[in-house]
Amino acid sequence: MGAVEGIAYGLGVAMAPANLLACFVGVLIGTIVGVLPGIGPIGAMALLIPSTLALSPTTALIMLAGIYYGSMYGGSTTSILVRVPGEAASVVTAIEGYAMARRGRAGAALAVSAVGSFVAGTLGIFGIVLLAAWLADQALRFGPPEYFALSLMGLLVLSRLSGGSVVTSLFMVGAGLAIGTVGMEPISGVSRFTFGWLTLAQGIDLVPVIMGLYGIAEVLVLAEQGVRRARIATVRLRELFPTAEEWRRSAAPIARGSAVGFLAGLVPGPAAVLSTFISYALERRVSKTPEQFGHGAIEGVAGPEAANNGATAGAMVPLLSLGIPFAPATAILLSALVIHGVQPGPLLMAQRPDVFWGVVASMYVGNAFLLILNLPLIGVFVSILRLPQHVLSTLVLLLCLVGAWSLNNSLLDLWVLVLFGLIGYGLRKLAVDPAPLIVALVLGPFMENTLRQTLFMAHGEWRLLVFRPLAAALILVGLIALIAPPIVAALRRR
Amino acid sequence: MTAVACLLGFCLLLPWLGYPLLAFVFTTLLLQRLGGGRWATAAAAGVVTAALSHYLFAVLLGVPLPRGFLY
Repeated sequence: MGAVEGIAYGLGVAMAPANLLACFVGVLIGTIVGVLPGIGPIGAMALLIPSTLALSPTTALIMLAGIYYGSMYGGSTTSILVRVPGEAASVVTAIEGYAMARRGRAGAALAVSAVGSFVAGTLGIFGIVLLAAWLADQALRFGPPEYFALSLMGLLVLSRLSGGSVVTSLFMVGAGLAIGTVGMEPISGVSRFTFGWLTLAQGIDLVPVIMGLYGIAEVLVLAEQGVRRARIATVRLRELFPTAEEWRRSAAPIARGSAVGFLAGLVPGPAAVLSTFISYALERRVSKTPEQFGHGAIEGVAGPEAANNGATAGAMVPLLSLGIPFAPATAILLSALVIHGVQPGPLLMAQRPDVFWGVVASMYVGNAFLLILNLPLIGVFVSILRLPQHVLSTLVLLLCLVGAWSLNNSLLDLWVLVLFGLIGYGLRKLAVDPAPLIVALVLGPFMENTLRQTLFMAHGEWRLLVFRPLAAALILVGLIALIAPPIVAALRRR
Repeated sequence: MTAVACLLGFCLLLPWLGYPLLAFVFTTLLLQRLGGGRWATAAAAGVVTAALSHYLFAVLLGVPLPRGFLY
């Protein structure tokens, strides 16, 4: 079935009343879940899988996918308004978005992020349609060495591009990798850094770490400053809409962000999160007014928000065309497919065109719903701001606690949450950026796996990484990113 | 400081006191210390918050919240 016929067929499927309703419910839940700190799309998706058993696989997948990309919209809302990212992919938005809110441009930030997300989602769908088959072929050439090289490059580039000094960022990367090693190692069964505590064998979950480093730490900083500090981010109604100039400045970042996000989504790893960091760094590099970053540069909202939605679209590609999930969210979608008796894999397009095209088309419908939902509802979210700060702080703390608990019913997660909240507070005091830590934490286990596989393939020879051209090229890019700028700067000074 | 103590306290006491009671205590303490209002107001808000959040998470979303020694 060609692309055009497929879309037409898919739209027909997506418009069926049951699927339409499922889509709406999914994106609504996704937005709410994205707004609430702690409960993330992954948790919500996992919780809802049993409820979808009565539905057809297409309907179930439509709803679950809706939660996924819907949460990208919602997450940006609390990022901008309260500087507590609803979930990891909105962390970057919190930087510029909150700064904008403090200058009274919260509405503009929200609108730009909603529109940017919509554009990215739509473009991403075109991307899926055009590239699904071809990309499946190309991605098959990636082996463990390439994956390892890619992750390594990602971390090195991130260290370079993150705020603060490179050395500090590298230290954060090291910390993240180290934290990622805690727990029982799956292949050899060796327990690392568990100090004999059985609970630590499950490792340290990413979500409480993020919630602690960003949510709790922020609240602690606010609490320390006391009641005197008035909530600066009040939003007047007439400032709800972005000015023409803000739209103009957002256009290119949205386009770039969509592309970055989509490409990032194709590759294994925390695509949505990583894409926002890359987009932010890219916008800062490309901007003609880099000094504005950190103080409310709208490019820093438009780009990353487009990126995280582009990434959700991109992440669907390997899932739908290969049957391989590259992100935790798509892993859940995969298990949903299996539960419903649909065989994922390269044959999905041919065997179950209703599932494939139906889901793809429904993503467009969902993005349209979200745009409509998010623009008028901005007023609702804005009124949340009027709540006194201590109420918001308390609520955020409570929600973080419950959210962390809801993941695994584990007290360990709560302790991790609080511990990293304290660490995050300390980092803030030291003006250190925790982002590399988080990325390293996520990529660590993956990198370890691929490195192990690589060495296994090469019988212990490290040189395999260099001999394979793609892997070598990726590592080279990472090293260049790390070493080049100081060298260039030094050369210029001569 | 209070916030830190409350957070640590929450983690420590949760298995013993159970969520609803602890949420009430947590919210009330925090609201009063951070916002500086009257204890009665904070306590009332605490009750509402604990009840609502318990309903939202335990009942609507089906998240099992620890019960503690009360039940």
